[in-house]
Amino acid sequence: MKNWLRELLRKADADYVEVRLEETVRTSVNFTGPTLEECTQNLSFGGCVRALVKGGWGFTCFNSLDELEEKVRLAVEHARAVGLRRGEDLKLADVPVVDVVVPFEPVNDPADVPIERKVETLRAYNDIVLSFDKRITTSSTRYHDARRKLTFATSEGTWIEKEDADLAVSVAAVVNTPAGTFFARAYNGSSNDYNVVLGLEEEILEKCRDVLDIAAAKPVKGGKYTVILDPALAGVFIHEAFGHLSEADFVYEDPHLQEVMVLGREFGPPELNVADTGLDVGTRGYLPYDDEGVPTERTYLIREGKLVGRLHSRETAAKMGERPTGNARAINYRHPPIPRMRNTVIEPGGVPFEEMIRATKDGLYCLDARGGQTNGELFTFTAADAFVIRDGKIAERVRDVTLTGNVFETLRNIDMIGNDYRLRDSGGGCGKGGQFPLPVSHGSPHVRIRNVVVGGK
Amino acid sequence: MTPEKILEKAAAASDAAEVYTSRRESLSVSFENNRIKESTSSDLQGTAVRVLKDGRVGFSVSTRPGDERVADTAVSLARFGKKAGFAFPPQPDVERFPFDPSHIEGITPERAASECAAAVERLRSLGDGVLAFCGMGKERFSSRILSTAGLDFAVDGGYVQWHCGVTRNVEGDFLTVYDYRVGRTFDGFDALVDKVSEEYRLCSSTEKIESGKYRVLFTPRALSSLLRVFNDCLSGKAVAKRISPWANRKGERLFDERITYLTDLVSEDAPFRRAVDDEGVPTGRKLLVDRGVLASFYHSLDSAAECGDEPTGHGFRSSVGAQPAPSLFCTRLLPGEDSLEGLASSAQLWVEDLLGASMSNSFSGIITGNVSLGFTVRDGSRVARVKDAMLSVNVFELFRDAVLGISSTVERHGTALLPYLLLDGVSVSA
Repeated sequence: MKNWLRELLRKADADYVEVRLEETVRTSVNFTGPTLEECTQNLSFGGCVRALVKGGWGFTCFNSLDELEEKVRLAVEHARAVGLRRGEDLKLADVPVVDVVVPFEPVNDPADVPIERKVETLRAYNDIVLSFDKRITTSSTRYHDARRKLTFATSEGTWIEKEDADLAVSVAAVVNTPAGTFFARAYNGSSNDYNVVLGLEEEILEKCRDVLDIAAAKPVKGGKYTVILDPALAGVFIHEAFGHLSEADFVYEDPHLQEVMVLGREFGPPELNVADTGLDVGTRGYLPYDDEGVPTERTYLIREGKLVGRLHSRETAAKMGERPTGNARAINYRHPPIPRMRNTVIEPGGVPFEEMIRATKDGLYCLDARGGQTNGELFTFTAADAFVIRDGKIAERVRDVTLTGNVFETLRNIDMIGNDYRLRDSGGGCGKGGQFPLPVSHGSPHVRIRNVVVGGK
Repeated sequence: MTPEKILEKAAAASDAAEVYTSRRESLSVSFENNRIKESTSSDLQGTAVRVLKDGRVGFSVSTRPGDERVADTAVSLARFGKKAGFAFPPQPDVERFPFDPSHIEGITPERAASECAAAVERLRSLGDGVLAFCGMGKERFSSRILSTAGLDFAVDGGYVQWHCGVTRNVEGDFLTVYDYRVGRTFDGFDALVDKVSEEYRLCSSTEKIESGKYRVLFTPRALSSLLRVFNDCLSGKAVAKRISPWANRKGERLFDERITYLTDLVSEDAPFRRAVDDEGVPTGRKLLVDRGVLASFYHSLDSAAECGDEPTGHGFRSSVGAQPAPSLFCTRLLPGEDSLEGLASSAQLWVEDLLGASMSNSFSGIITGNVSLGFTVRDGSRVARVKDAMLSVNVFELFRDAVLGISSTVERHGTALLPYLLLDGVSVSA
């Protein structure tokens, strides 16, 4: 198979061709209320071919591996039709040709845990929520693991066989009141360790207490606030507010944006250091090779407040004359790779959390994220929980806190970076170009930002 | 292994079985940054098996063609499965909607590339620094459901989708204007390009607004963000799980009597016309909110059984890998009696798109989003772009107490058919 496929790609009449073949077994266990709604095991098997001819891309995906030659021919035909109109002399950025087998090295392999045990653990968590207080209306307890075998080959001779995994757990307590329905959830995730699913009992109890208080809290008053983001929310903030802007396909053919995003430009205070890394073994953003076969690295985006890098595919790196960074990712064989984040982090600064709170006369302390969105310049994300800060002390809880702002202004308004870096994977994922949810991670210490707009009455 | 053989295998080890097969063939062409970028095609298929065994549901899926193991896996997982409150439905006696492939056969990669190239050419002429993007594609799908209840129903269909837009990203002012269409036939890019061009020109100046309460005109696209509250709270699954705050409020007047919301999968002009859902249950026209009164929820077989309701034909699979769940397509908010001009003359803001609205907790009724495309309005005309303004709309309250008007005209947004809606007292933080 290996020699045959390599030869097939080498002989293809294109500037570049790659093939990805995947087999993924996905296990899902979901409770809603007392009911085990879903306990399934699905097999996803398929592949894709991507070809490049004169700057034009062709792509085809399929489930049947019959007539793979024909599929390579089809992708090349697509690329040729585009290349004829485009007529560009594009050479992808050089990367080392590799021939590797990347073994899966689990701490506690989810595939070794019988499904009975998974159901049992999840049922116990679910029961904690349902028996906590009669004001808790229902629960949502979700788990998935996905185990994938991947073969990747290119016309340049790269051959990667890789096995990897992704898993996540989330346990939500739900309270339904006349004012609406409110959630609080405990969660965790990993790319190599089922142990992260275990031992969440205390955290679940805490979330049960939280959701009752959230439901009783008043909605936040809209306006501009000094906000302190906890590490989980600060991680989502940097992902939304700066990570997406750093994905080079946003910039590489836009001369105006290249002026805005010029390397060396000051974006934040000198204490601000932001990186994206695929090196953190065990995180959901761990990625030893990207989906173009490029080895991973820690890519600095901001160093001492200044823009120093961006996240590249081989195409964007070549066009911008920069180094490929191993950020081309595809959610599965049904999609071509595009520049995406891995584990995006704000590195720790020097301010203790207590000092940050003490130094804030009026503000909001915002915790954890319900999700976020950006269009490059504007970003918005919703806090799962929040408190008023008054006279340097954490005061009453408020709800329905959605933060928004202009990326550039907001980064400049960061005035304190904590010394308490933390990374906790959630069960969510990142969406871009119709590819959702891609496993990513984000880590950060507490961060304080001035003049953030919060929606509300 | 054929679907019949897989059904036979699953049935032999269970009390009842269902096999769902689907195949989707698509092609698309896309332009980015004023130039053609990519041409793609796909041929994706899969087989899902659902069994009822000892009163429980087992489910599994495989995308490996003819994979017989899917039957064994579904049967083996039934012991953990949800209690089955439903039986598989029998063969329905419904009018079928045969698909006419000639509507999409003419959409070839060459044709799509030419149509997109012409649209991009028009959009680039909007000004220096404008980067146009555009895409067009088609999908042909076929599915078949077989069950031991005697059901054997095949669905054949297809649609075309096309989108275009422009970006202009300069220091301190990033702008993206775009729109899309989906339909059983391709209507051309002209209307989309005209709309995008008009909105782009209106963005030539920007106006700062103050925090406060505003009379806001929501376009059909912006309205669709607010109606997520309806779609989520009316879902039979949310009702069954007591997540929906409307679970016990059927028959109550919750909204202004001008609000009538329904779904219709059988009308002549529906972009997706389906005689049955992905469980073989007949679809149809279903009133969800009738003149402000909560009329009904929408259901799959499972959610209907859990709520003690009848299934409504809304059990769809988001992909072949997903179990059927209550899903809404082809919704309509019925038009009112107000002219768009009249509504605009009363409006202070005109909102087309809200960034981040999908992150809001729809079950709290509050949709919050940053105005990613919106305008100030004076004397009924859009004047300047609004930026850096966050809208917070309490749909529960404002759709009851603050509806100032509903346009008599409707527009298609995705598969929905929606009017313009003018709401009073919308909170804006700026």
